[in-house]
Amino acid sequence: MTILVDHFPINQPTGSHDYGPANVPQGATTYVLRLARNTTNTPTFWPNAATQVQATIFLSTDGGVTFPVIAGSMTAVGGTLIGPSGQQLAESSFTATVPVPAAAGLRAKATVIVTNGPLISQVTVEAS
Amino acid sequence: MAIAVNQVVSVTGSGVTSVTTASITTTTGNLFVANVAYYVGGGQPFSSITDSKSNSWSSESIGDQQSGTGGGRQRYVANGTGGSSHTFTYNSSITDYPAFVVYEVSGADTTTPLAETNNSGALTGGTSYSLALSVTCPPNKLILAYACSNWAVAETVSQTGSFTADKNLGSQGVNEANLSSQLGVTTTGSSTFSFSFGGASENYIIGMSAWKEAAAGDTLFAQASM
Repeated sequence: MTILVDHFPINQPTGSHDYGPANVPQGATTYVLRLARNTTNTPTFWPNAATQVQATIFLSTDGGVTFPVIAGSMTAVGGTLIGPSGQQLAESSFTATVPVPAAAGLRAKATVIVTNGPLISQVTVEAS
Repeated sequence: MAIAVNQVVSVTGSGVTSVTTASITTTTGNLFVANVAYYVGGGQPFSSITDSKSNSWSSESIGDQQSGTGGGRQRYVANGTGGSSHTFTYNSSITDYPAFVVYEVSGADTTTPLAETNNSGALTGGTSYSLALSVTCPPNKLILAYACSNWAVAETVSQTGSFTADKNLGSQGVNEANLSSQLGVTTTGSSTFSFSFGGASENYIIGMSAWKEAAAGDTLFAQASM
């Protein structure tokens, strides 16, 4: 797994913001986006359950001029979550597969749309 | 045209209220089938399946099944609208941990493609699991099978038998698991096929559905209308 965006700090108001772009390793078909959540150890991250996020990974085949392809997307809300394991959930994330392996020169960016911000978090994007 | 899987896309999520697949180019008139696994430990999360071509995903081939804190179901769109930049979304009413798989199938009957179904109900214990489905040809059939589990830790399953695994979305401890597989059937007469896999002693559900190939007249009509 190649890290394209590594725990990049987010402190953004309501609205749309981009992270990246970054070069995608040739042959990649799997894309992961992680957003850090509110936990006991990270009390300033995404504390408000009314703060909604739509996070999408877009792909560009023209060097980052346009990003017409969606690799995957998720929506999530803030607050402290207890996951199926019974532990506080440290991240909201998605893992998406793209049928066509990445060609040389493919670039990816993450777009995070915040409703009822601000959003304080960290974003990580990976590809493999 | 023989009934066949064109392509498969998938996405998993953890701590989400929706997940959307990669955008792909699909073809109008094809069949779309979605297998979704979800977490029912906090209540029933399933809200809807939607796509970017505004197809109606209300047709359910296999309804909600649950085992432990895992749940799953299968829905489909017959004779769907396709095109470029086609995405598929699973929407949850509460925070969820879904594993979502979508098939695009060509050559299916465009009016009543669903032939037969079977589901396991709740399975638990043991290390091997199986479900059978009887189908009759002609017309030729495509069997789509899925197994969902509420694995709380990283585990793997190993599929056995004649099915081909398209997606094996292990949980890795962060989302539900979804093994989705296919088998094309052309044997004349009635035959029974078993979808089998080995796994840990966990909670599972299995669903199987058989889809009809378009009659020759349907194909000719489709060709003539182009």
